[in-house]
Amino acid sequence: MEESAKTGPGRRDAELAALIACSAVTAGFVIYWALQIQSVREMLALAYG
Amino acid sequence: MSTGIRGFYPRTITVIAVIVLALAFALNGARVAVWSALLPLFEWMETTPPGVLGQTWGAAFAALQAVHLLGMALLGGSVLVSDGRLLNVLFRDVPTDLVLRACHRLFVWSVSLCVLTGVFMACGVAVKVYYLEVFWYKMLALAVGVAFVFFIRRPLLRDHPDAISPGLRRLLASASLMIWFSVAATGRWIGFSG
Repeated sequence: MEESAKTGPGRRDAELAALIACSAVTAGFVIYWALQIQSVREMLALAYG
Repeated sequence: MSTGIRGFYPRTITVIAVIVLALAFALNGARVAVWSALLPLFEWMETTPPGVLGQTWGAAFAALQAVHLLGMALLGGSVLVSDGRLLNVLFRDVPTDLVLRACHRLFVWSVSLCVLTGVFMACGVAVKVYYLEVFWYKMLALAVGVAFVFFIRRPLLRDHPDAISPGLRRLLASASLMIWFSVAATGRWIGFSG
């Protein structure tokens, strides 16, 4: 029972779901903050050349 | 992995479905239609007692904001400690499940406090935040953060957190830090967009 809780299909399901969710979060974080930094750089270039 | 493809994986399928639906919602006209439909709600929020109080009594708004910031400090602390333990950089001599359990309790209380005070604060400046793009990104990050904790992180770490691979533990901690950093940063950004 103890071993099944550590390695059963439910556990594998939770691990795979976590892997996909973490990948999506990382991709979203990188894209969002890259766009924000880019827009700030453009505004600074407009303001100060 | 071949077992995974053959087997029925409800949580994984749900995560994929949510990501696909979120992308579809973000990339078509439904997003703008929902945003437009929400304006009357935000206008109404300003007319409620918390909204009127927030607009007319600055001291009450400031006191509420102080409680909100205390909640954020507790929330940030619980996230940093639990993720630091998962990354194996903090409290290395304390069992992981003990740290995670204590931090989760603190997280639930602090996120409840932040949401409660946040709704009251938003009532005072509802129409202003409605037109702020960053406010919607904060709400998105907050929703993702809460869903991540209760549907992804907690079910995986509740029992036998040491049984999962170190790589997945690090990935979970990194994703969690990214989400809550975004929540805090966009929140501060709303504050600066006065």
